[in-house]
Amino acid sequence: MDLHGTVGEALKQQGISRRAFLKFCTALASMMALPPQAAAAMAQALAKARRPSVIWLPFQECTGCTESLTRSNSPTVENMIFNMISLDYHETLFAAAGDAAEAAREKAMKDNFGKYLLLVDGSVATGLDGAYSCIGGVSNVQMLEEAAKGAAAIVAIGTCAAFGGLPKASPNPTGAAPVAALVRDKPVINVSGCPPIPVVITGVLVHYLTFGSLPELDELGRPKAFYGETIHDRCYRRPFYDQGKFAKTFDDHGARNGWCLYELGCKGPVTYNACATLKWNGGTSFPIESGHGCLGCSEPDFWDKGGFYKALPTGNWGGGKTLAAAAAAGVAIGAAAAALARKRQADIAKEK
Amino acid sequence: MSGLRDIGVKVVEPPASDARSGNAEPLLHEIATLLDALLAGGRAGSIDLRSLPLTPADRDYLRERLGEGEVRAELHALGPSEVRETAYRGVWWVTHRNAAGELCAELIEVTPWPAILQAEREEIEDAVQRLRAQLGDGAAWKA
Amino acid sequence: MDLLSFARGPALQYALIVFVFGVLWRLIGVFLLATKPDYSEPRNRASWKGLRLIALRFWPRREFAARNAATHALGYVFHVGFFVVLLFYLPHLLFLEDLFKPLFGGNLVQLTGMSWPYVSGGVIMMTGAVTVAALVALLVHRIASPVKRLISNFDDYFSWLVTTAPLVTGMLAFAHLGAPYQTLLSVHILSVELLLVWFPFGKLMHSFTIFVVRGVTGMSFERKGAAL
Repeated sequence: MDLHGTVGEALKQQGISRRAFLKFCTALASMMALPPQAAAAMAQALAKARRPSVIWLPFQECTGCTESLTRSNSPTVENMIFNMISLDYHETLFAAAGDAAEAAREKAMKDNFGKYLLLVDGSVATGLDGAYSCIGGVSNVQMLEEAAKGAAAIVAIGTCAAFGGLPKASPNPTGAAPVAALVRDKPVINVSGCPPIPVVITGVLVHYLTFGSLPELDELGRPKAFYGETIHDRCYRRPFYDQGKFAKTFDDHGARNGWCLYELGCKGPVTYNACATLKWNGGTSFPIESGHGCLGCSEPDFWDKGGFYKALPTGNWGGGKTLAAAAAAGVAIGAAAAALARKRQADIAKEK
Repeated sequence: MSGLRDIGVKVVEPPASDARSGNAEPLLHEIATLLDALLAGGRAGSIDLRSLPLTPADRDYLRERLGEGEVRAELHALGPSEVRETAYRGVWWVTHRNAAGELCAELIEVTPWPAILQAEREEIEDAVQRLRAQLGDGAAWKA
Repeated sequence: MDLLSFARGPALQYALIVFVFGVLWRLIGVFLLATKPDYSEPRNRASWKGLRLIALRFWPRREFAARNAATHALGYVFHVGFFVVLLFYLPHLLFLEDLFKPLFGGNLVQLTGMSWPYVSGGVIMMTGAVTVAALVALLVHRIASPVKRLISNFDDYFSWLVTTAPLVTGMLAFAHLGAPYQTLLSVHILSVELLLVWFPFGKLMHSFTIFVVRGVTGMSFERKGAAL
């Protein structure tokens, strides 16, 4: 099997019919909010595209992003991408291990230098010279630097790779850093989310395969097609927000009737992701539909924004102690000012 | 997951689910325009039903207005799909589902014959090769 | 740290510190001033009755009512509108609840079982629009009237600005107008922090001092037997 022929040939060899492929492109075009006519164009372009070599490097991650993409019983729209790319290295999915796997990676990088797609999930540990996270004795920092040299583009999958994620949360003991902070000379697409919606990962890869370029990105490097709107803007509970119907606690009258979860800490208004439209598990539901406020997991530093159950308007300020100290200081200075004024008054009275 | 259905949920004020948003009517006008375009220039068109906010009541209304035609095709590729002709020739309702039965895409196609049902020349060439191989050489069962 | 985290975090912390420190400084500084002993014979011993001046001065004296009717009415529209927007909009209530948590040792709503009512965002927007209109009208009057213009100083204009800015930025944030929502929200929160920081040092202190001044004046008048 020619691993690097066209995508169309690869699919044919794997027994995926033209109709199945067209169905895949139709579904994906629908999810990417492209006009349905684009599906046929996408299918044509993809069939002729060269099957790219893809190297997936997992760093300081929980494997949730890989799980998000691969967890299914049968070929789905999301994981058909694996039939279309040549996954030349994936630490977790590879049957081979140890030296054999490392050798496979090095060979793939050498053979496709300058052309392979580098997918990264997990943050890069930079503390202690990178010693906090090593694979086969090679630190993440080193591995990323090496792999980035020959990559055509880098896709940072998941909030950890895109923004640092959980490891970067205060106090960040391992010196976790996002991919974009370490790789400056190659294009980086951030597909954030904890984990990202699987079809978003697929959509980005398909876009790259079809058009040979990166999709339009927002100021945080996320594809605008999926991260252009906030959860709040597309939330089906929006009418309740507008009417002022909020659930006060979990499982109260408001919660049972599906009212807005703003008071329970929903970060929907400031979170950009496609959860409210594409939903999860093949369109089953998303956190708010299941009764829990949005965590804001596709935004940078969402772990350190105060608390998942503190409503958005509440401040993330220090607390009562400093204010008590400020109050005491104010009283003291006020008393001192009054004392000075009194002394001056007494002096004036004495002069008279 | 059957487990979810066992959890008791009491809805005190059930939401009104029979509400129509009024988005279905303009769709019918768009279909008519696409039919005109098909007659004039032979250009097929399609409308992605997921691109518009449609309530379940809207969908029912749309199905009712478009009606049933003479053709209904089942497609099995990466899961079941259905192509139903509506009462208006040239207007087809296409539903794509994945292997788990979940909805992937839903379109209204305006075309003499939906592209997904057609067999392409390449596939036919491949088919004749395979058939001749089976007929000509009894041992050659290569697909 | 992005702008919103800064606005909700350190900026809010420092603004509150300056506000608490400054307000207490000025109030204590005034309360602890010496008063000259009054050796005259009091006409009324129950001088505490003079405290009703606080309420009485909310309405103008008959002699001046007609002349100042417009500014007086606009002033009321602005003040009432401002407090409605501040105290009857849910996100503001959540903010204040969280702010007063350390003072009361817990969430006041959960402690007392009572809940403060609120109205929908649309009503707040309309109230906000009316309030801003009143503020603009008052500024125009201040600039157009030769007397007012002569006696107006930096304090007057800057206090107007820090009061109007939160209303305008709040409405822009609600309408998602002009910039991404995060930016609008950050600017709104920062404008409130500017108000807090300026508060103790300008004429905005009247929010506390009117009660002090009217009370003291009223008690003094009552003691002397003067008409309130």
